[in-house]
Amino acid sequence: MDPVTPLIADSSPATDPGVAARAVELCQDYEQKIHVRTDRLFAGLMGLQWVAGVLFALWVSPLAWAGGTSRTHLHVWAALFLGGLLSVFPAALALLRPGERSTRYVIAVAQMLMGALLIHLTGGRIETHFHVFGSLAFLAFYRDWRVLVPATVVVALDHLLRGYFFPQSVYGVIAASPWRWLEHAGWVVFEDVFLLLSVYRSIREMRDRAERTAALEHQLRTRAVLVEDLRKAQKQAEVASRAKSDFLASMSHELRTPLNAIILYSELLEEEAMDRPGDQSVEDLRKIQSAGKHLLELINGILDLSKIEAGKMSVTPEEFDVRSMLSDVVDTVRPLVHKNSNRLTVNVADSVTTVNADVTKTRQIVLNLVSNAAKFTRLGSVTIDVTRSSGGARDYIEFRISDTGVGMTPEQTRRIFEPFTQADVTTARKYGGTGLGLAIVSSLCQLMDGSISVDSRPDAGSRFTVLLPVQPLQPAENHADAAA
Amino acid sequence: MPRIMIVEDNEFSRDALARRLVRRGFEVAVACDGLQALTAAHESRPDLILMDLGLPGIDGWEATRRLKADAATQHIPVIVLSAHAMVTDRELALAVGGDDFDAKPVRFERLLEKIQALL
Repeated sequence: MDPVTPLIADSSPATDPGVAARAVELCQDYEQKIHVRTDRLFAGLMGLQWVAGVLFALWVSPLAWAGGTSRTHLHVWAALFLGGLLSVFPAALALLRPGERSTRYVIAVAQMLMGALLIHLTGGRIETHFHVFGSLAFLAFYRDWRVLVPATVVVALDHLLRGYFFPQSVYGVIAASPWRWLEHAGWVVFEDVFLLLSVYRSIREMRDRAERTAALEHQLRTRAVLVEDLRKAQKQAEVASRAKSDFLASMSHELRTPLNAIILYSELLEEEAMDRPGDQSVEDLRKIQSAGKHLLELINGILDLSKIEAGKMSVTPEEFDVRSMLSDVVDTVRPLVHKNSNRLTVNVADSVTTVNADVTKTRQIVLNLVSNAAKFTRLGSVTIDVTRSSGGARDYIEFRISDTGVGMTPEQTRRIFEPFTQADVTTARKYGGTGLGLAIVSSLCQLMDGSISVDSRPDAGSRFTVLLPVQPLQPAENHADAAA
Repeated sequence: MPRIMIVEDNEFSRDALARRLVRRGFEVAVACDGLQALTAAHESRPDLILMDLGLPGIDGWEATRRLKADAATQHIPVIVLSAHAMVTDRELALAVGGDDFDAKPVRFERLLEKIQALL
């Protein structure tokens, strides 16, 4: 848990210097792409304008400027050569050095000069002046405000100089006011204001987009790292868990082999000692056996728990008679009940007949609870109540094992289903047992889709309630799990 | 007097089990590995074999399988003993032809019941 949390906290992109640098890089990348694209646009436009200029000269100039004569007018040649001169160089730059700053400055100047040529070719018609406004708008496509500066300067100078020396070329009149260029320049600046605003907003949006993209990239990268870390951690945990259960299985085997010899020899010696009347070692040999059997129970308990934990404990449901299973349990536990002078009562409701569950595990659960009840009760009673109950969509069989024994405090009942937590440390010495029984019982109940709960007070006895489903939820699936 | 052969590689387990069975009136032969068990079973034809699974060389599974595949020895009941106590061991032991199974450490009285049932 802990190694994961800081990773998430660190992933805040706003504070990451790498993310800011990436945003700048992305923004430059966007701008570069726009510059290249706009350069190409102008390369095409240059060609079109050249052709348009020649067409203007061919169709308009001879009629407007030379009357009915069919001589090729000077303007046709001007359109052809001047237009070519203005178009070829910037178009070549756009194709050879797209995206360079100098390329777009050259294009800006050439575009405005082309406008001047077109105005001249149409005899200074005011309508052709709209070409100037269109050109500026196209230049704003670069989203670089600096491009608009030389363009504006060229327009203003052109109007000033041509208006002074050759007003017919620019205004279509023989004589013009020397201040007329200022009015034209004023309208150009008026347009520039809007274009500059639009360029500024567009750049800001681009920057926002770059920042969002950089942040998103960072998040995706962080998440990928996180997922990879989690996957690795999960794999390690699985390997460790498998190693642990393999270790416990082989450990349990290694422990059983010498224990086998200890128990067999001590039983052999006990038998031999019993053949010799008055031999004092019988009692001691029984203690060795008892210790050996306790050790065996511990080994079995640990093996059971590790099998459940490793998911290797399979559940095999089968139809069995509850009463006959209970009578097995009662036969097994009877000596223990009598040892502490307890009375054992079994009440089975009429509705309880057969259930479809793992009979071995059900018996293990009930046997463990009844043995505990008998062990912790003296001169009292142990009662087994079995009923059938409905919980939601499923039917359950309920085993209630009550005793009038020592009971437990609330603190003790809270921890009773954890391994190695007998109610208190003196309990194991006084009553025996491994401290694993209830942990196994609780795990078995969960494994069988059931539940276990306890109700107890000190010196007032304990009541354990086990609920197990009468039918497995999906018999086919459970069976497949059991086989695996 | 029924003759029982114990196949077990652990010296202490073999010795203790043998002596306890002798005290109960059985005639006991021992083998330390699968190969010895197969040879001895052929020669002496015991009435019952107690077969440990984890044996050096030919293990208990293989030895049991061969005993049950051989017409001369297939009638001899085999009780398989294992310290693994895994369900799969029991199933495997019965699958290779064992007649019964018991977990180690053996509970002697329970083992005696199983022996009596097969004799």
